[in-house]
Amino acid sequence: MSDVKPDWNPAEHEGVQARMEQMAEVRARCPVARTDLRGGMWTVLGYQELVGVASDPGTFSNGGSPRFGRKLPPLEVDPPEHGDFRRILQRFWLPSRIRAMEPSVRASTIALLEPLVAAGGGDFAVDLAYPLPVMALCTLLGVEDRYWPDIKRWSEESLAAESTDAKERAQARAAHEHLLAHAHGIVADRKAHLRDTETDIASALLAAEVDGQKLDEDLIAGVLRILISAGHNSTTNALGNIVLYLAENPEEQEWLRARPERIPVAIEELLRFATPVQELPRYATCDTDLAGREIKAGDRIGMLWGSGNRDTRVFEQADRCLLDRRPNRHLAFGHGIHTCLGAPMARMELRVALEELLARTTSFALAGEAVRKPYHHMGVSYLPIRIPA
Amino acid sequence: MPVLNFTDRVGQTFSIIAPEGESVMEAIRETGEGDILALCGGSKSCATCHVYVEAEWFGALVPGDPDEDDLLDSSDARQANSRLSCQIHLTPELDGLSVTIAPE
Repeated sequence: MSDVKPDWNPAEHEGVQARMEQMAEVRARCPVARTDLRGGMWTVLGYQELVGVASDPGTFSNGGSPRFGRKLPPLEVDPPEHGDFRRILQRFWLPSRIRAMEPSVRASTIALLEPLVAAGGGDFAVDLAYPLPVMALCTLLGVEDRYWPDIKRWSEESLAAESTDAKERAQARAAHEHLLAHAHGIVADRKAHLRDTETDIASALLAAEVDGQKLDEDLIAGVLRILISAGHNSTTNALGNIVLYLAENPEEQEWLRARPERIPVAIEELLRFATPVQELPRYATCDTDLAGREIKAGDRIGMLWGSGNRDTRVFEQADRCLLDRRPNRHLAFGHGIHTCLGAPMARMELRVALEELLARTTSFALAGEAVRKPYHHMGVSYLPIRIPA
Repeated sequence: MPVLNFTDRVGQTFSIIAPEGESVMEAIRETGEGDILALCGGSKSCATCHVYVEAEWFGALVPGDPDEDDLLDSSDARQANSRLSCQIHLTPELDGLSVTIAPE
């Protein structure tokens, strides 16, 4: 706890536009700003300051305060333990692996899109953005398809771990326990019937040795637990944001429709412009100075990735979405050793979804008012789309 | 815009045009070829975008810093011409640069 005066109140606005304007004002005034939220914490809003913190895991730890008591690696642990897990996991996201998964993701996309196109439209938040990423995640983890509705629901509920509403916190805790139980189920199944360690993540974790020791099974379940929810919530939000932007901006949609080869570059810009993961935490391990602010050991730091992505010191016309922006060193997947492990998979899912949507339609537009999720989620909960025949 | 030539791990070669200012890692990743992991996304926190720079070009590059040197040291495949491709930014002077993706 500290008696530092607050520089701003991040809870002031729930609307995305108002929040973006507020962050621009605060970012210009103090790129590292104090708030009274969560008992007092720092928020990092500037691009360079975010990169500086993320590049220094010794000073700014991810292991400070696990959301559910026990640490979930690799996200909630520091080096050297962090590297042990990343080394075991990283090969599952090699481009060649992602390419091998693409046909299955494309088949799922087509199966979800065909009825929407045939019906002349529908709710793309519920009928496309919601199921597609979790279906892909089930394929990646070797989880049977029939579990996806449960996994999706628990994952969404578990996000409210820090809600101010006690009921939501309790629900998040219960959802976490369900996900953890499911992860333990996968571990038990693979222990009984080990699968190919080259293609099955749980089997690879069971077979792996670090310093001659097998990994603790509770930790393996923890890894699977974090992959189960990290592997789709943000992609769902990204997909909703992308379809919404293109529905609201017909000229941009037409531009991209005529240039499908530019879809990957456009996706990067849409991720920068509407960053699904707006904020993730760090904890100071020692007293330190950050952009002239005195940080105390134990202080919580909010990494406002979405703010850094609108920093005019780095991005020209940062508040405009320029679909052919290159280079585009955005922070949508974070920065440093905890950079999103699944980024290649998210990119592939978004590209396939957009390729199929554009190929199967001649245009699409909003059929009513879309409903955005309240900040700090950056996503869409209702996305009525009309597809002219 | 500079031309970049790269060779993947099975010996296929590619010649691409990439915008100035972009890193070699980003330019290669954009093609979807090369099976380059670039796990940390270009934040100089891993060594999964390791390349060998063709001898005639190596001296033309801005030298790497001690962090890059440490990360390259963690690779068994390090050679005298090793670099992290995320740390090589394309400029007009590097038009025609040629690299080979190092083994994992």
